[in-house]
Amino acid sequence: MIVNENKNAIIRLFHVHRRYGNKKALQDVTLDVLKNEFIFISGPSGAGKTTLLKLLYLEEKVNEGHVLVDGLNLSRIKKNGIPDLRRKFGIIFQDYKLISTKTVYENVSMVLEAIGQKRRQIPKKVRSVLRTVGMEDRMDSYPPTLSGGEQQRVAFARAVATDPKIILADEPTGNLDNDSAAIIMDLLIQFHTRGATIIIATHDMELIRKKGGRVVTLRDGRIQSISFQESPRKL
Amino acid sequence: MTLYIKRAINDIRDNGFVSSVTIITIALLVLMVSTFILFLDNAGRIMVDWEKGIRIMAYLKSDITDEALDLLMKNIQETDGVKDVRFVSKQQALDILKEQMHHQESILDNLEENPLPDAFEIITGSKSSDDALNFKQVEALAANIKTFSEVEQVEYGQQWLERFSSIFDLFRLIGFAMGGIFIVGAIFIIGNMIRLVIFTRRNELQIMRLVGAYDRFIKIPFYLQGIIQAGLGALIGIVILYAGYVYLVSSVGNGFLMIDIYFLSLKACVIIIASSMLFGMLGCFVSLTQFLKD
Repeated sequence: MIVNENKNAIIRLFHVHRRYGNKKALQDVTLDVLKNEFIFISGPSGAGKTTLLKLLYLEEKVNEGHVLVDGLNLSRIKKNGIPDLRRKFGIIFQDYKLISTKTVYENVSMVLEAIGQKRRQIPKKVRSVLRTVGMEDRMDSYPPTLSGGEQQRVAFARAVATDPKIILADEPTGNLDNDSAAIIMDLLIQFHTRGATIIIATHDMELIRKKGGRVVTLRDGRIQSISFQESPRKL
Repeated sequence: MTLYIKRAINDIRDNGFVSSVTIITIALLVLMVSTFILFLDNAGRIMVDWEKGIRIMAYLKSDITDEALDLLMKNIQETDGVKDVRFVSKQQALDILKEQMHHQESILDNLEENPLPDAFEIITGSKSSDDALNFKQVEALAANIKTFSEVEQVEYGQQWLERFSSIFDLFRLIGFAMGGIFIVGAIFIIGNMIRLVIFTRRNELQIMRLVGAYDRFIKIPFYLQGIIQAGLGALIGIVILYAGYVYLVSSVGNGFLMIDIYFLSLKACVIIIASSMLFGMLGCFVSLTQFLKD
C-alpha cells in the first residue's frame, strides 16, 4: 500500500526489489524524487544505479514494491501505455546510442517524428535544440566524425528535443574529458533551471562535488545513504 | 501514411542487397508456382474439352430386330448424361474404316462378310446445358448402357482417359504442395528479411521505443516494406512468366500441341500478387511479434 502522500514528488519508489535470477540488483529501495530536483544516484559499478533508472521508464519491471511516476503507478500500466510514460523522460546514455548512418539532424528529428510531432514544426525544433547544445553548425555531420563530447551533446539534444519533464542521465560524462564533461553538466543545469527534474546516475564523485545536490548512494542494491552535497558556488 | 511509405521505401533502398535478394527470391518462387498454375489451368481446359468430346460406342449383338433397335435407341436417348445418339450400321462402319485405311482398303475388299457390328455412337453431356461429364460420370454411363441386353460391348477410350485423369489428379496434388511451399517460403523469406533489417536497425528502434514511439509507428513501415517487396517480387515473377509465354507462343506458334495455350487470367494474376503480399505481411508479423514481445 502506498502511504505518505508527497505532492511535490514526481517519482516515488516504495520498497522496490529487482532480481535477476539469484542476483539481487535492488533491495527494498524507497525513495522520493521531487519535482525539479537535481539528484545524483551514486555508487560503485554493479550497485544498481542503471537498474534503478530502467525501472522508471519500464525498460525493466519491479519484482516487488511500487514505482510511481508523475502520479502513474507503473505496476498498473498496460503495454500500450508504456509509450506515454516514456514521453515524460529524456534519456542520456554513457555510450550515446546515436545512429551512425544518420546525420546529427536526422538523429534528433527521428525522435520528434517518433512521438508524432507535426512535420512542419520539426526542422525549427531540431535547429533550436541543436543551437542550444552548440551543434547547429554540425547538423549535417555523421556521428562517427564527431568527438565524444560532441556526440554526447547531440545525444543530449535528442533527449531534450521532446521537452521531457524528467531527464535521466546514465553516466553522462563517463567517457568524456573534463571540458566536455563540464559542457554536459552546464547543459543539464540549464535544463534544470528551465524546470526539468534531473536524475544522474554516476560513480564520479568529482562531478557530484562540482555541482552539488542530493546524493543517493547505492551499494549492493540497497540505499546506503542519502546525503546532500553543498554546491561549491554556495560555499 | 506518407511518412510511413517514405520510411519503408528508404529502408528498402538502404538495405539494397538484402531487398534485392528478397525480391528476386520471391520472384523465382512466384515464377515456379505460377508456371505450374498455368500448366494446370491449360491441362484442366484440355481435359474439359476432351471430356466434352467423349463418345461411347455401344456395339450391338447381331440378331436384333428393327423394332428392338428403335426401342433401344429411344431408351439410350432418354438415359441421363446422353446428349445425342446416332446409329452407325455395320456397313457405315466398314465404309468409315475403309476411308481411314486409305491405301490398304483392298484388304477389306477381299472380305466375304462384314465382320463389324452395328453400333450406337453416344455423345455424352448434359441435355439441358453445355456441361460435360467427368470421367467418373462417363464410366457410370457406359456401365449403365452395357446393362441393355442388346448391347454386346461398350468402348469409350477408358484406358487412356483413366491414365490421363489420374496424372492430372497427381499434378493437381503437386500444385497444392507447391502452393504450400510458396506460402511457407514467402513467409520465411520476408520474415528473415525483416529480421535482418530489424537487426541492422536495432539501435534506432531501441531509441524510438525509449522516446515513446507507439508500436504502430515502428511496425507499419516494416509491414509496408514486406508488402512492397512481396508484391514487387510476385509482379516480376508474373512478368517473366508472361515473357516466356509470349516467346513460346511466338516462336513455335500457338496450337503446336493441337491445342491453344492461354495465359493466366487477370484475376488469377491479381490473386497471386495479392496472396504474395498477404504472406509477406504474415512474415513481417512473425518477425515483429518476436522483436516487440517485451
